[in-house]
Amino acid sequence: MSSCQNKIKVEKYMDEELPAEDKQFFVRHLETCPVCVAEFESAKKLDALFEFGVFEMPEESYWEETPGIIMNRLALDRPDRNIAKQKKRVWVGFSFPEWTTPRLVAIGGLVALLLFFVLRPQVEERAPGIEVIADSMSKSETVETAKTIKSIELAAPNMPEAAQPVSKSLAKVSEAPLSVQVSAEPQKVTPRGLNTDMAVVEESFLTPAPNNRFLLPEEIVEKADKISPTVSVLSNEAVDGFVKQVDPLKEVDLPDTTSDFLQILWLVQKSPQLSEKRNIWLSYLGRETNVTFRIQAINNLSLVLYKIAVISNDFDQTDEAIRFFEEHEADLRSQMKDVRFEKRLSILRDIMQ
Amino acid sequence: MCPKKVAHNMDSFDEENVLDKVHRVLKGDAKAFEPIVRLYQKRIYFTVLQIAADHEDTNDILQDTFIKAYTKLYSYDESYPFYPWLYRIAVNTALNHKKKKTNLRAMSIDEFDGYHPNGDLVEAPKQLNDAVNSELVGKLKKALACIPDQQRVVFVLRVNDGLSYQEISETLEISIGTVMSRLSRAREKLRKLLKSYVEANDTRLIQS
Repeated sequence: MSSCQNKIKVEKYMDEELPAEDKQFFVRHLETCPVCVAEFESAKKLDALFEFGVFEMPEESYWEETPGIIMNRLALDRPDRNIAKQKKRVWVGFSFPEWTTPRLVAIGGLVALLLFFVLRPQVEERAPGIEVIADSMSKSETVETAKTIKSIELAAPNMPEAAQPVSKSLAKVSEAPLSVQVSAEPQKVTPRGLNTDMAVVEESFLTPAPNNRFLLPEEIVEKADKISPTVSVLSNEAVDGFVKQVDPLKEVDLPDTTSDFLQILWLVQKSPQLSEKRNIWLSYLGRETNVTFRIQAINNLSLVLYKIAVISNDFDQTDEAIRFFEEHEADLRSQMKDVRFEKRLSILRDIMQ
Repeated sequence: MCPKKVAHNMDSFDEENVLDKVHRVLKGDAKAFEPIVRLYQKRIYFTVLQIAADHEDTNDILQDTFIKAYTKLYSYDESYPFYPWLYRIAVNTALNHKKKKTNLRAMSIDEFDGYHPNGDLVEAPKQLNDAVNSELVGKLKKALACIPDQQRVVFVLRVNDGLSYQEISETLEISIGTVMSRLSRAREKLRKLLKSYVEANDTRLIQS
């Protein structure tokens, strides 16, 4: 079947999930587009085949017997079962067994609080001011990476080839010698290196899209125009993940941060202005943020591309996501442990199942 | 046979009636639960059957669903309709049941043509029971068995039970994007498997 860019709306239209304005447009479009009409008819026929179920329901006697069987099972499982006994009390939004009293709950709460302070595990020390964001990193990985960021500073060689493809840049980074610098102070990732590539992404762009979904490609392209490729210089950090520098004295609450960053990374890859930049300096909610665009980002990016494809219902982009992942496989394997690589790959395959 | 889509919302009469029964059960009258079973058993069975594709499994899941509902009745929030609450228990019980049955696996698309229906599968629905349609019913069963459980469940909730994307998302506790993705993939696979039926001009089967 040939293609039409509106074909992706057929299913939503059939499921009555298109917004009113899109629906009006699509109904008009159906009058003139044989591709979408054929798609719609085919989809409708498929649903109609299954609409009434394909399996026969049991005989009437089954419905007579079943309630009795269930009631017997209830009685046999626990003859003394009395649902009323399980009824809970609800105080300030929390539910408690009915035998509890306010005094008992208060005493229990105090004891729990006391035990918490006495027995709480020591929180693993982490570099103040540095937080690592990567959607597939575990907490320990994150802390470990944060320590790495704190203690290792890459003695980056001159890299005037700022415009070289990402995979080449990554290869270069993997060969770069490392020097260690330890500092107890919150460190701002010092801009160093040799290029002046930097993008300031406006706060408004980073605001999560409604329903926590990823931005659609056209929306991102639209917003890409608002990005000003101004300022700066950053070294290429030897960090497997995204690094975010925050004010250590303030709490940061970024509920959907990963999505934001992944959106940016996707944009970075797509935008002609930004595609060759590896390091991006961001401003988020008034705080400066450094994102190091590296191998894990590429990995995650393939997932993002896929997710965007799912949301926009345009699976042509799925191929792009897979290709992107495959293209960078060698780099991914060299930068990550094989186990981690396989884990990511399996996640990717699961999603694409 | 359940020849109509399952309405997800109850009418007000049923809802009040059920709420009264729920109150009685919570006060200790266990027998008041039986009318609730009678009222919902067919609807629940119909949905579960499309997921489990097996009478015995469906029977087990149906019983487990009502037993879970009984034991968790204290957690039912009366400000919401009863049926969606029960329905969610049923779908999740069915999904867990499928997971446990490790010896059963989804048939791959490659196996489709050579697949022989499981002897446990119940017979074709009556309205499709003539000679022409029995072949189709067999194909439909096989096709459903070919798609992964997660995709099949979304497809069943949408096509058989008429749930919206939002309702499916809430029932399965997955994002709407995931609902759309699974539904789209399920349809894509089914359409490939049933190409000759879906693209045929003859609509008799669909209208029956």
